[in-house]
Amino acid sequence: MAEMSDSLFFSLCEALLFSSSEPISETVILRIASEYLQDDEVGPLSEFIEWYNQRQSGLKIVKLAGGWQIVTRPEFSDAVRRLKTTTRKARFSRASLETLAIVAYRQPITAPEIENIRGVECSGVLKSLLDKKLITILGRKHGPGNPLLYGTTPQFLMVFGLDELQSLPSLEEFERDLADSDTKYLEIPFPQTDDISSTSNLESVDEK
Amino acid sequence: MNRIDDYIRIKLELFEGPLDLLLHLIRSQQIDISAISIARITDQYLETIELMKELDLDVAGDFLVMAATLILIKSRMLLPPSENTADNLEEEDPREELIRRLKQYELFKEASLKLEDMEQIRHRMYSRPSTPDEIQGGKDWIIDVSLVDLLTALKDIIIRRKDVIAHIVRPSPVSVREKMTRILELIRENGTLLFSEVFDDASSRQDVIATFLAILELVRTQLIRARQRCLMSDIRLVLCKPRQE
Repeated sequence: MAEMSDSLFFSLCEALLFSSSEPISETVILRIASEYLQDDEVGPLSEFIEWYNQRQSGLKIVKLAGGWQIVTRPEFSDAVRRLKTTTRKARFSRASLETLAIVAYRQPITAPEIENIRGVECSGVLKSLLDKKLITILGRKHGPGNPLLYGTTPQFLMVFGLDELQSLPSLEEFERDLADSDTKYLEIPFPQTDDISSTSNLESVDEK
Repeated sequence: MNRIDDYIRIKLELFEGPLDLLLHLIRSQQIDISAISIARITDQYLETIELMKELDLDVAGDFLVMAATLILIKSRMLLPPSENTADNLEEEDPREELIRRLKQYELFKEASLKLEDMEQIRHRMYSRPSTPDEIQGGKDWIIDVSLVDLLTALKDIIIRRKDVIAHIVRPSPVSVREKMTRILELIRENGTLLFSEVFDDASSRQDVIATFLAILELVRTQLIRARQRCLMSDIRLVLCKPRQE
């Protein structure tokens, strides 16, 4: 594996992945590599990735939305953040996360179906998720009113660090967790007066 | 408003909907969803709704629909069991549909918490940001465009077109001709007029422009002449002598 031919292939892969600000698919990497290297020099991409991620490095290669991308290792995030001048945008609201979860697991799904699960009207949340390109319209459902069908986008996979939809943890897993820990839900502690102003949407319903 | 009211107000705003509120009520009793007492939960639910009203919170219709559903289930529970109930007790449980929905909602709520965790982990990994030339560059053209993107683009165009069409040319309330007459009058009265003085009675931007156009027109038709003592000094408007003679 540590032959000269591999090294050249490895170096080229690294250069390609470093240069791209978006995940690149294996097909694209191999196609470019085959144009610049001899056939016997092009190895399987998995070997390169395995080698790369075993090194002592601040970087690693992850699979996102079906492509490969070089990212900084999460353990250095605090340090890396020091260089960032922009602050992080607000996290997702409860409503957005719930709606996204339903769309992700039940797609293609219509707005009324989502509303039935959540028990609340969802048009505003759906619009904001559409605007953020986290969900998209997949078509219309045949039936009364021909409602629009929603599904998640590659952007959704990117934001939540997923390679493909199948990498989502299965709903059965959650079901098991919930069954195991029916007693884990405790009364929300009564907040101090100081806390009230700072109590955000995210903190309080989260009963972990 | 005292502390408790504040607390309740904040908490109520946190419920994503009636199912969320119900789930909270159930969890705070630490009981299994399947074992809920409809009578008890209905009372608690209605109390909470009442409280929301007292606090002038906007009680969304969804909450009221759920209240009606709960009362309906409660009343069904009070009815004596029909004869064939013994055969299929499970199916006849009026709570069944509600329990199913609560469990389903709980599941997705759990999934949403997981998504939140995943997003946080993902956010801790930084990738190289795209450089400005990449954003402008040809690379973007290979991205698949969805119907939504096309519609968004169309919307942008319509908005832009609307802007163009919506531009109405209003008749100018000030006429250049009137301004010309006025300037000539002033110059005749005083013999001369400073350029800056001409604009003293100009009330609006349009007025200023009309006045300026009037000056240009007067100069062009050689009715007045614009003179200056030296560069950058104030401009003096005078009547043209040959015409006067």
